[in-house]
Amino acid sequence: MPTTNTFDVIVIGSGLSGGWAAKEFTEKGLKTLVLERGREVKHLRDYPTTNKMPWEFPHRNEVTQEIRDANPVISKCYAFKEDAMHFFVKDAEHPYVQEKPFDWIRGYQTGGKSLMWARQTQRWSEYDFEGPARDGFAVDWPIRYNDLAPWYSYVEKFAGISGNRDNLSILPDGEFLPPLELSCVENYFSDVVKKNYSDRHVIYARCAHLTVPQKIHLEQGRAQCQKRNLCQRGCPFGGYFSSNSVTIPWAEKTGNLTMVHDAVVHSIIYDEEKGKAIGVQVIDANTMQSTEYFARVIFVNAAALNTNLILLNSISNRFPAGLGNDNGLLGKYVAFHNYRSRVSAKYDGFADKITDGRSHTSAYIPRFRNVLKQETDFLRGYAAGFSGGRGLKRDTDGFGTELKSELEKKEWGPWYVGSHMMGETIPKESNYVSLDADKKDDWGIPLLKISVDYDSNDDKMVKDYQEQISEMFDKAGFYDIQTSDSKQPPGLDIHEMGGVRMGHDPTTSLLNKWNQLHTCSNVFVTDGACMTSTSTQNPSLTYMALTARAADHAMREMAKGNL
Amino acid sequence: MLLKHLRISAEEEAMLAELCEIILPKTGTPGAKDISAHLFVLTMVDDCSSADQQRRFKKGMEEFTSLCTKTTGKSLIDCTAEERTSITQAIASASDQEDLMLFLDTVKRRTIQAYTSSEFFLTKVHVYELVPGRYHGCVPA
Repeated sequence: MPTTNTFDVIVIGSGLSGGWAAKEFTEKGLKTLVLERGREVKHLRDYPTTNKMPWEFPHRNEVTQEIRDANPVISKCYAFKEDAMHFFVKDAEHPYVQEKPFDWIRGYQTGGKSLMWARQTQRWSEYDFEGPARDGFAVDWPIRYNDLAPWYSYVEKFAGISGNRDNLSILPDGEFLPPLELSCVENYFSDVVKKNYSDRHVIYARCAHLTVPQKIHLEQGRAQCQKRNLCQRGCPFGGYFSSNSVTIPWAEKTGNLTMVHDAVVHSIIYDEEKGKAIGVQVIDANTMQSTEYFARVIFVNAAALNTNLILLNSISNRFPAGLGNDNGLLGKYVAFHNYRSRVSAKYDGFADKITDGRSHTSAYIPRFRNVLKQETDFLRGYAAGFSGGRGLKRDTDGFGTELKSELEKKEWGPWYVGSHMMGETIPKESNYVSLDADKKDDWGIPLLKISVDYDSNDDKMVKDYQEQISEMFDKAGFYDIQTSDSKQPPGLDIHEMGGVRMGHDPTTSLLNKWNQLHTCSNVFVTDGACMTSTSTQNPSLTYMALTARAADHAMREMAKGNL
Repeated sequence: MLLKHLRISAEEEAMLAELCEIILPKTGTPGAKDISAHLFVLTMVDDCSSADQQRRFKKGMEEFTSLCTKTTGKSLIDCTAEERTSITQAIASASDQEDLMLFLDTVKRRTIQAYTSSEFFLTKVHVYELVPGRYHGCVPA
């Protein structure tokens, strides 16, 4: 237990954005308390599977039937395998109410989901920030690309982002470490698309990996990414960005960080006389003991939906419907990314070529629909991943010595290509989270009730994605083109956003342009909950930039005596 | 072998070891018995299959045992090479026995997996690199 209960800043959550808040405040000398509801996972020490060989997993990385039966939701997650399942929340441990089907994927430990994220880091562009205003949905973002651009640069340099300078207005360049190569087929497809479409691009997907570490990264104790592509286990080299390997140890080194694990935040304490939040009520996950911590400024970075839950559960006379919720919009306008569809195919070219080693990223197709103007019967658009690789050819029809030599030979099959969509969904009032009136968790906190669904805009987008990617594949001479629509529930994209959106107007939004609650300015929200719209890019990099920017503003206001 | 769900007799376990060895025999490289592939098969069926699949696997195994007896009058373990060939032929004309087919497919698939994910295979045949340290997108095959 800490020796004091009073700090300059409290950060709720040690995940990707909370870690950044901790780093920013501690580095500038502010005494900072980070509350993490899960157990401690210490960099290097607590990565039990990181150096295991494939044959050391008793089920060769498969999840057993017993675990799948007990965990119908988390078992759907692509990274929930024998090597990393200890980093995911099991269904029964933390129930929630699905008013509509929603796969809520969570990681309760130091670093949260930053430990096993997919590490894709594409900037937003001006087109993304002006989207809601231009197309008339949600509310206008109170910031524009230029407000965030310097902060993108700031976080990119520290985190280490590998990328290629592509000079595209739809996906602005950043502070890049060198890219890896794309595969023969990825480069070939890029050329085909360039020849056939003026507005479509296939580029190297930017990712948070140290391809060539700089001085700052060595100071963090990290080393070059070794292309293991086993990132979800935790990286012994610190080759990719996580709170565990980067921001939390950095904050610890300052001597200004206090970290408490197993600390379940019940609510934020609002002082009616002072007219501001004064602290946080915490329940020890194991002992159930309740503790109050106090600070001048509170950053809520509990991950999008849990941030909503904490604010909704922070009830006072002044805020009977949840902290900052004068307009009744808290928990509403939740959105996500539409990952339903994939397109796959084969290619017979480059028969004499293969890839060697492992890549931790692939190619990326930035949004090309409705960018400069509205041109389809659906709003906004989608980005897409693209990858092309090659496996060994294995005919397993026979048996005996024939089968054995078939398995042992090294003959390459055709190239396989695949793409997945990342569609922007439109935030709507009818997509919301709220607190269940009756059901409570083991700590007496109401269960979160989730009511989020697709609409016809998403269906149209799936159809268009399949048509357009199939057409592009066809032009490239790919064959056996297969399209699929998984119809997976929202949530499995792990890009849930909103509920505490930013905006200009306190009557239609919860947060101002600095991520402060309009009506309780010493409470900041800089995780996915703050997002006014979702665009198509993997959102983590934007959370990092928003967090660093908001922390900087908070410290300026604290210095002026305004907070 | 200690299993949670499947009930497999010592005889059945020995028969399965024999069947796996027929699928992947010892040659210049280890065979199924050398890597205890049959135990891997049983582990995977016991831990990673649904109750229904386990039931069908067991039923298929019993059908296979009867097929061996019916064709040769013996258990698979005691069969000569010729008798094994006659069993193979009998299997080919029993493709309508769904549980038998599920049993044989499962044994084969998991035996292949046991071998191709074994320490021997991944260190001596197709070498698995825990730390490649490199990625080249386009090199000669």
